[in-house]
Amino acid sequence: MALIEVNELIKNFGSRRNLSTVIRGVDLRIEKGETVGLVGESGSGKTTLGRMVAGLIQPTSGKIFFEGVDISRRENRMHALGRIQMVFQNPIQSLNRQFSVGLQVAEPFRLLKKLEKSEAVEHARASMNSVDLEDKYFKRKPSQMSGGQLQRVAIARALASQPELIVLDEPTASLDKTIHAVIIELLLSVQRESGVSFLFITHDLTLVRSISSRIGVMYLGRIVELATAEQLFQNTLHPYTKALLSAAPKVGGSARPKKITLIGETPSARAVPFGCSLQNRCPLVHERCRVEMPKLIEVTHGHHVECFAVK
Amino acid sequence: MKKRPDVLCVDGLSVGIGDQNDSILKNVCFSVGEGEIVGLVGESGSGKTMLSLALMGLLPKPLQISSGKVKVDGQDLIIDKSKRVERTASQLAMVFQNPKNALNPTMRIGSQVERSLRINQKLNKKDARLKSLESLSDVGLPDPEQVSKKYPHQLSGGMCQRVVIAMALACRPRILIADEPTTGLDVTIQAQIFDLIRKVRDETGCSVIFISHDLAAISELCGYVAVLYRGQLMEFTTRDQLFEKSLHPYTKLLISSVTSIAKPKVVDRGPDYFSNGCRFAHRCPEAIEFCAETPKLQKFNTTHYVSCHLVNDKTY
Amino acid sequence: MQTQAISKVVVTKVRSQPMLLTGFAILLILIFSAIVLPIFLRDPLATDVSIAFQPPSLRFFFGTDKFGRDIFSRCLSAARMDIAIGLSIAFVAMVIGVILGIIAGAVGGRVDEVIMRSTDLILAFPGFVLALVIVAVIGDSVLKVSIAVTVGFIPYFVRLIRSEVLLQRELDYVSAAKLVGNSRTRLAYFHILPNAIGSSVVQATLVAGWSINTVAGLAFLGVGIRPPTAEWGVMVAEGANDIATGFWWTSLAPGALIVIASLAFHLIGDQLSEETT
Repeated sequence: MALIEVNELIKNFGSRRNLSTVIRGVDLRIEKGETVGLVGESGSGKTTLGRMVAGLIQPTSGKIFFEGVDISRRENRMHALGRIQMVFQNPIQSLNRQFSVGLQVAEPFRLLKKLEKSEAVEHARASMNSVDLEDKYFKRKPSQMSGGQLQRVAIARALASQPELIVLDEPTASLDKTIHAVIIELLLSVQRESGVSFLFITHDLTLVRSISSRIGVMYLGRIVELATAEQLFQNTLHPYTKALLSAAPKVGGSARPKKITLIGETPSARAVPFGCSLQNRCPLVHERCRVEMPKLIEVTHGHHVECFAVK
Repeated sequence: MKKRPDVLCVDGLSVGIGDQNDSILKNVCFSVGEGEIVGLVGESGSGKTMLSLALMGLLPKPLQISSGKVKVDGQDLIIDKSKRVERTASQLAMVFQNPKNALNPTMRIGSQVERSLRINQKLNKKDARLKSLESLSDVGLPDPEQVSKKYPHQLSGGMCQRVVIAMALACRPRILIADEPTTGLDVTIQAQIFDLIRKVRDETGCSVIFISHDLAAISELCGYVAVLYRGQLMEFTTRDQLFEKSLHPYTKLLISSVTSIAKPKVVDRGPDYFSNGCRFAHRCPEAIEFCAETPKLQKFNTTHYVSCHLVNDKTY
Repeated sequence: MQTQAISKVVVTKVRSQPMLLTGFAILLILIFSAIVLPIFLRDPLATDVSIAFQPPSLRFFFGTDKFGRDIFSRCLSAARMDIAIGLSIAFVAMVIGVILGIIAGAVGGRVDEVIMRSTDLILAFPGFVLALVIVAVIGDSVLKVSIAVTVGFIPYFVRLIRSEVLLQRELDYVSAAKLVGNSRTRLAYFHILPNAIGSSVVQATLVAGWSINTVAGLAFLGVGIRPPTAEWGVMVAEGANDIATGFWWTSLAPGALIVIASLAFHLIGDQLSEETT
């Protein structure tokens, strides 16, 4: 049984007249111990999807199964508490600036593991040590630490309840590039030790490739391509994924102007076009794309694409 | 790549609040030739934004230029007593990081562009309107008439950035400074903005200073690159030489952290280590005793300058 | 540990701002005099008609009133009362307002609607008028007048806290706290409240100043605090007619003190609000 199984997930925001369809039907599976990467640009819905899996946002319709239990239903919400955790993009904002970081790492030990304060503090210290933060940082407030250090605190806090899945929403986006590697190393070693699964959300393609076994590419609320990391980069099928890969700046090579394969801009979630969502930008657009919506089909083993132009 | 005649020459620029040792910028030297796109790369705290503000004469109150020269077309813009740059809009113009913040949320796009044209090119109302529509279409905005009637919040980030670029270009500057113009924009839009910058350079001949923390973006766009770290210039050279034959340990560290997610060898001796000398010494895996003294900018070849004690002709 | 940090911050801040310093200085002087000095001075209620209407002198700093009472002693005694009332009203209004505001912001829905419409209702009346109306209903005494004035100030705090709570609710640290097991109540009072209360504390200082004005004003009209109690407003009322007969000092001192005291609070409040925005 998959750890997480998402079925036909839909999420709308706003009122009937001013409706934003942010997630328009997503299916996804996450197995135990694997890292699934979720890539997309702004408006793709990847952050919303992550928060729904973590239980912070309730879906409009569709189901989310955690070890077979439908946690999208109200009565089951407690089932996943502490077993699914999340690390947010900006560590300064994801920690309460009024309290010391140590106490915040101790919180899950007190509240979820129901330990006494002194025991919880002990565990918190150990947890911080395991992410390379010495005891002297325990009493510090978030404003007294760097972004990289704070993100390690956030990871220590997420690990406290020994979760089976951690949703990581752009965990390195607000940190300097030279710190990225440290954080990624830490995550990988955590995974090796505990077998925790990751849902790794990012817009950085190089990054997602180095950490994920499978990657889903999202555009305007749907997964348009889903494949293993290898398959996605070596045999890119969907026109959006191709544009994303070619548009992403790469170091080295010659400074030749890139051929832009996508014109225009992403449509707003309030005015999603009928048919394929890429129709106003796609170089391969056809009449069929404007009248019918493509479905995510398995083209080769493990490689799913949503595009009429791909057989 | 032969270096073209200098449009901008920054010589020994230091910015601070009186005290030399704590200066935000220390002895920065680089130059921008005609029609070149020069990249300014550095992490947070490198001083790259401060440098752009210094060049624009926009340094916030307590900060001053304590020494150095800023020459545009040979003319030094720093008037001794004032300790700041006095420039005209036709010399340097700037595009800031967050386009929505750079536009007035209560004015329509058209009015804002027209206003810029009337002030900087002294056009009358009618001419300004026409020119405004022209410049909006020049920056690739479809249907300039429609866009002119809208307010900034009705446009996407990418479109706002194009408007800001249009307004900056209205002054026909010799140099356009773009401070992280695509941070926060989607990668597919970023590619469009890069194309726009190249087009602008090709059509108007203005030079561009492109500031970013994203080495990959710099690699795509720039012919020359200046690397900053904690207010000091570490290396200044052509793009090819930077990526293929970088000389400064910091540059090498930066490049390796971007090209591979390999296990980093983290060295950190605390920020006070050799703080009067080379400011990278505390993180430099190759630091030696000499590094307690600020390294001078050495000319390695006509297009390659480095500030590092470890580099001299012999090590090449 | 929290209070240590707070007092350290307060001391450094106060030192660096002349306005804040002035405000604090005035307040401290008033409080000090109000508490300590009366021990050394004359009974504020002692009458001695033979020394009535003495102008200010070295013996009687502010002179004497029509009953021969020492105005200086009365002013100090009144200071005690007025400042205490001002602070109490501000404090109680803040506590009640904060609790209601958090409930409104955190629970939302019907409860929020009810609370907000109630505050709208109260705010529809000018504070002074509202206090008069309430006193007319519940009766006239020091306590009842204080309650009447407090009611008028509660809505300010409710709104302030509610909008802060609505803002803080959406932030990541709240989401993270939910995921580590915080119940909704703990989230609201332990996590959100400390981050939301800043502007309310500033508002409290302003409210203290306003309530001194209001209470003195009501007393001037004969509502709430009555003679012979020494209270600034009462004293101004008592001395109001004396000006016509040439005895200018009987209202001047208490009147000036009303202004000075509320000014002190305003200075503090103003500077604090500049710090926090």
